[in-house]
Amino acid sequence: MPKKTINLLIQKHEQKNLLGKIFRFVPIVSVCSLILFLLFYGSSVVLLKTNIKEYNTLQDAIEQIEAKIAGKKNTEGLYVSTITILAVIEKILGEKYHYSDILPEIYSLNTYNTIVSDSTIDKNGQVTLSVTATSIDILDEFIEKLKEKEISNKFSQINAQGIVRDKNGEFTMTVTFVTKGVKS
Amino acid sequence: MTIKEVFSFIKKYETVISSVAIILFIIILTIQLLLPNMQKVNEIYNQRDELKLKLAKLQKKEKILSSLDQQYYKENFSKLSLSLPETKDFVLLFTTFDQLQTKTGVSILRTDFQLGTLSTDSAIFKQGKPTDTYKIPLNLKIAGNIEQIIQFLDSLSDFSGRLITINNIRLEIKNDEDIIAMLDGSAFFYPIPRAIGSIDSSLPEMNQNQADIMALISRINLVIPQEAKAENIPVGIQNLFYK
Repeated sequence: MPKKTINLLIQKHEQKNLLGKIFRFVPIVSVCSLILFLLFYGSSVVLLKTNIKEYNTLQDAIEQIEAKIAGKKNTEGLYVSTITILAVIEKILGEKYHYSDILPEIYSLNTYNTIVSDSTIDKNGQVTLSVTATSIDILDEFIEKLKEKEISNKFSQINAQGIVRDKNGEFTMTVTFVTKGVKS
Repeated sequence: MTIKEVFSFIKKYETVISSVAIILFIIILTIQLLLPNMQKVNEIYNQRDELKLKLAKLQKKEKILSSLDQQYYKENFSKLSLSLPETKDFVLLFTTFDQLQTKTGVSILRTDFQLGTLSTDSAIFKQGKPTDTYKIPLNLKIAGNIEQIIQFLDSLSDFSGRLITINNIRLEIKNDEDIIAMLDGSAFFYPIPRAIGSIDSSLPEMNQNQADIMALISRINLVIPQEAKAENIPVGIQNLFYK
């Protein structure tokens, strides 16, 4: 028959040790936490006072500079208004079309034999011309002249609308084209 | 459990009990004092940073304002106000065309303004953006030679009078000296907002284009109407019994 052994004392001994350990550590933890608390609290008070002092110094400096700026309110108003008007003028001029660059070009199409009787130019550079010539050959020469302008990159999208011959034998043609690079 | 037993228990575990009491007390103090203190430190630290930024902004603004030549801006503002007045000022429009006629030699055969509502007071108090420009559509019929017409067109935006842009030109070429031009365009006005913003609002910066316009305007010699100058506002009779 096998021999059986039962240990009844071990568990009771371990429990006693654990409580002893807790009882030993609790005072150490309390002292450490007290020291840490005092350290942190002291630091926070010092930090708070330093920040408040710096905050007040900055506040004073701001008040002084605000008083200086308030004294220059007229100058500020004048400057802001000037910039506002300048911004508006800049925008208006940005959309402006330089007709003075294109008018001589259109006027130069007017010769002894061909008369540009009516012309319209809009702000997008779209030109419509009404040209009158004494013969169809002269009108052909006029078209060649326009083509030269296209090659020299002044005009583009040249379009002849139609040719009409009137009672006097004169030919009238309507031409449309777009001028280049004259917007500011 | 009797009182005697309680006392004996306290006496037996006095170190542990007092330590636990201290820890509990520290936890309460941390919640009540340390954490709010740290929170306050953090708040003030953030506010201090904001103040530093504000101070830097104000110092920059003050520096710009100190460096401005008030007289230069005053003179140029008066000139700018002639090109872009606050109101429709149709009298100034006619004056501009009269001056252009004399200057360029063209004959103005017809002027047609669409003035619309004459009151602009309500617009003055609106906060304006640079895009809110107010237009006065106009039609002109002028006669002259090609050089005169070109000079006339250039003069419309050379700041010698009201700023005018042309949308469409119709030319009728009679002969070399007799060209009739029909112009569709716009004159402008801009009611300047009365408020200039808060004291810590940053000043707008002048870009290169604006600086060029300003330099161009400062070179132009214009006779500013007396009524346009702020110091010449009539204040009435000083003494009613003495003329």
